[in-house]
Parts: sequence; C-alpha cells; structure tokens
Amino acid sequence: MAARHRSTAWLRTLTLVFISMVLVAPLIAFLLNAFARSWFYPHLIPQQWTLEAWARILSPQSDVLQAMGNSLLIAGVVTPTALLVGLPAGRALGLYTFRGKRLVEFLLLLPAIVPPLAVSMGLAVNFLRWGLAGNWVGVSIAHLVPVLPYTILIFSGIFNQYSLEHEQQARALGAKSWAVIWYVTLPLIKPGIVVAGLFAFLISWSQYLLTLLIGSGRVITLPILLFSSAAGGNNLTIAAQAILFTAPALLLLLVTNRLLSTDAVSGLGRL
Amino acid sequence: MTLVELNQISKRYHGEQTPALDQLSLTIPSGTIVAILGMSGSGKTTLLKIIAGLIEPSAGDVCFDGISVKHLPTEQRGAIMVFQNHLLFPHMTVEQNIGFGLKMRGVSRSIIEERVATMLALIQLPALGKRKPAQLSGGQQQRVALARALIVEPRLLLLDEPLSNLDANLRDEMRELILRVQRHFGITTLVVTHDQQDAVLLADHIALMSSGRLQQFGTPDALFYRPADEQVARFFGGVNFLSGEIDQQSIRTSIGTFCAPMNGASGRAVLTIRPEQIQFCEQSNGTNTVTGIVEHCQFMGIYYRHTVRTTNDTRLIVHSNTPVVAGTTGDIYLPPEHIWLVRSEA
Repeated sequence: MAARHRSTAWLRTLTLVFISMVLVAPLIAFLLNAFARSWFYPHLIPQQWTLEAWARILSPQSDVLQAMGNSLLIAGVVTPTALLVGLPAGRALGLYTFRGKRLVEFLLLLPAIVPPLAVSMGLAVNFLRWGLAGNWVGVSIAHLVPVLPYTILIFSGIFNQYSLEHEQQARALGAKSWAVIWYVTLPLIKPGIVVAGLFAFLISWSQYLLTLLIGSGRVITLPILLFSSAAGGNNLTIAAQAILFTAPALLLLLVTNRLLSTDAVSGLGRL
Repeated sequence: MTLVELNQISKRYHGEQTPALDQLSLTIPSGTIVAILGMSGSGKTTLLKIIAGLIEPSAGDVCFDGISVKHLPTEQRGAIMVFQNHLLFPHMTVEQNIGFGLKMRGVSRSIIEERVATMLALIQLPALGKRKPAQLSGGQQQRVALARALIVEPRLLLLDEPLSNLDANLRDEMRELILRVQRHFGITTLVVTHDQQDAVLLADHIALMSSGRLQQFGTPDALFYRPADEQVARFFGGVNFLSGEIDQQSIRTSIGTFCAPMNGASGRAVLTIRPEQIQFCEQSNGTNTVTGIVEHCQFMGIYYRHTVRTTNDTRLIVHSNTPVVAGTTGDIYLPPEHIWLVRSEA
C-alpha cells in the first residue's frame, strides 16, 4: 500500500516536471532571448543583454504596436459578437429539444472538423466578391466562423444544466423580460459567459490563416507579423513579438481564472 | 383576501394516457389556508402551477374573486408560488432576494430596506441579511423564500411542499411561521403536501386528491372522522373496515350486526371506525359488541395498539391507553356514534 502510494507520488512529480518542461521552458527561452544580444553555447544565460528589440517595438514607427492594435480591435469586436450570437443559440440547443437538433449540432461542429485551409479558401472567394476582403470588418466576420462553434457549445453545455424555474420565480415576483435576463439569467450563467468570452478572444487573437487570406495582406495582426518575423530569422525580434503575443492571453487567463467556478468547467466537458 | 374558484379544471400532458387533472372543481374561501393533500402523482403540484399561471389547463377556468384569470400571465395574477427547492437567487444576498419583488415594482431603495428589515424580523433571521443563500441552512432558505414571496403582498400564496425538506423540529417551526404570517397578512394560502399530519395541523380546509380528481374537500376533522369513502379513510389512518348490508337502523357484517347513524346509506355499505374509538369492555350489554382474542399488543409511545381477532378471522385494530396482554379473550365495544358508514366500492 505504502509502496504503491510512493510510486504514484513519484509519477505525479514526473508528470509535473514534464508539463513544466513542455509549457514553461519555451516561455523562459523566449524571455531570455528577447533581451539577449549574444547567447552562444555553452552558456546557460545570455552573455550580453539589450533592450534593443523593445525600443524598436515602442518606437513611433513600430509596426508591432499597430498590429497589436489591429489584433485587439478584431478580437474586441469578435468576442462580444460571438457572445451575443452564441448565448441565445446555446440556450436553444441546451434547453429545448426540437426536430433537427442533432443536425444543427453537427453543422456547428463542421468548421472545427473541415480542414481550415478549405474553409478559408471558400470564405476568401466569397468575401472578395462581397467586398469584405482586405479590411478588418471582413476579417472579424471570418473569425466568427471558427469562434462561434466553441461559444455555442459552451453555452449549450451551461444551459443543459440550467433550470428555468429561477426565471419563472423572478417573473412571478413581477420582473419583466429584460429584468429577468439582467438580474437572473445573466448572473446565473456568468461563468459560462467568462469561459465563452475567453475562448472567443483567444481563438480570434491567434488566428493566422483566416486573417492572411481574408485580410489579403492588408490587415496586419500580431500573428501575421510574427510569422513574417519568424521567417526573417532575427531571434531578438521573434522572441519579443512572441512575448507580446502570449502576454495578453496569459493575463486574460489569470484574470478570468478568478471569476471561474466549477460550474463553468462542467460546461467545457461537452467540447 | 382572495376567493379562488376552480371550475372543471382538466389537464392532459402531451402523450400521457391518463389526465393529470380530471374535471376538478374547488372553491377556496377567502383568507383561509387550504391544504391540497395527495400522494405523489395525484396532480396536486400541477393544480398549484395552474393556479399560479405557470401551466395552462387543457380545459376549465380559474377565477380570483369571481373574475377569470385564465388568460392572465403569471406576473399579473398576483399569485406567488414558493417552490419546494425554494429557488433563491444564488448570486444575491438574503436582503436582495427578499427585496427583489419590490425592486421590480420600482419601489425606492429606502422603503425596500425598511420593508426587508421588517420581513427579516418576521421570519426571525434579522442578522442574516448580508449572507448569500448558500450560507444558510435548508430551513433558513425556506423562510427567506417565504419572505420574498410575502413582501409583495400577493393576493394568493402558493406553497409547494414547504415542509418536506425539513427535519422534525424545523418542520414544527416552519409550520408555526406559516400560520403566523398567514394570520398576520390574512392571505389566502394554498399548501401542497403529501403528509396528512402537516395538512391537518396547517389547514382550515383540506382538499384530498387522488389520480387527478378531488376526493373530498372539508375541514381536517371532517376528513378524519367523516371520510367520503374508504380511500379517504385509509389516507387518514383508517384501518378498520367491515363491509355489510344495511338493515333498517343497523348494518349486518360478517362479525355481527351494529347500530350506526345511517346518513342516508342503503343497500351495501362499509362500516369504518377509528382504532382509538373502539373500547375494551369489562361486561357487555350485548349491543355493538363483539368477542375476540387479543393477538398482539404493541406499545406505540402514547398508546397501545392491539390486533383483535374476532369471528371468521376478521381482525380489528384497537388503540387504548392501557395494555391488554396478548391471548386475552374479551369483548370490544364499537360505540354507534363513532361508527361511520361509507359506500361500498365493490
């Protein structure tokens, strides 16, 4: 019994070490690289430090800040739109049974199953025709394609375990429709809103292919910039941009983590 | 103060063979507490939801003070239902929960605060206003739910199994509270319960339901001592039933002929008598008396329960304050004034 306990403890430690190696080590490498003028084998840390990359990023002619602004704008439009569409759709899927429900669920998952390149090409052709290519509006709409399945499924998971009785009670106590939504429904599903919003933001924020194709190279977001820098091969620039790319996501996770309860995570079980 | 009339209410759920409610009519006097009593599946909660306006009846009409409310949505009926699982809003404090109805009516904050404080005092939880529902016990949550409903001064208060989630002493407290606030506000109150004791202790009138039909409506003692049929009698703890033939002013059964008030009975009937009304007697004068042997004597806490075997292996249950040891042979007396005849079901 004791031996077995010791072996599971050992296994747990090993798993933790592995996870931190895979997840944290690259981040540390990026952090060091972003400030390293020269860093050669066999030195464990850089020999010379510099703020050169950051000076460039913060300079008035910086393309990085502009790309970050674009990314924020698009994710900032996509997230509330996805919530606004995903909430009622997820509510309908989670609460009610109706003819063709399975089909709707399947269709919703399609963008996640079909290869992204195929989806993007198809979208690009049509968006060009409609004049939505090459601007941030078109890119935002395109981002909704991979984002919406996630938000809808999260909300349908939340509403699957939701009882209408609280709303009935509120109505019986004299609450009008908007008041029921504002004072009862929204607070009750707040964890779901946080999770769905987080997903929507992160999916939009890290979108490369759709932005590239629909934006026609005119909408420059952080991932677009990051990919071209990566091709350029300047470690200092790559690392600094990668940190800027990761930081908001991590920050968002930390903030929302506090808002989350176990209820929200149960909704994720359906994904 | 609202008089509630239910007129030929029927409810058939989609795809169900038997109706949940079958042409049920009932008048609930203004300002009284009426218990809707029945086993689970008897349609009592369905009835409550129809009155509240949460379910639409398939047929029939609901009237408050003589005016049909059938087409009024729940928020305009002024009938507030307090659910068994209390349904407090988990993200609001106790004060916010109680004040919710007033806030929805646009009442000013200072008045809400004042009224909420009064309510908290009434439900005897004055210090818990700032807590969240999850930090309260089941009984406290139930009381908050009651206060939340009462604060809007509804025309009608509908309580769905208000006592069933509580343990014994909390039940007594909650029952007291319901009675106190009902008297305080004079609100017509309907209580759904499956527990005949709760119904007897709470209600001015009891409506006993069985498979979607009203079986009997009357005061608790009427249902107790003058049941409409054998089923009602059994629900209220009736155990002695003897079927027989009416013969003038008496009924002839397999164990003897008994004098009883006839109440218009004729032909075949069933004699019933409560076990505490039967007496062991020292010497018999013959009438309404049967000879039997005590098979079993069990102490029940306040009384002794005896199983007495009489002629033809017919058994009667007799309660008494003093024990009669098993094996004793003797006479038992069925006082005519305590015998009640119900119609024969066969």
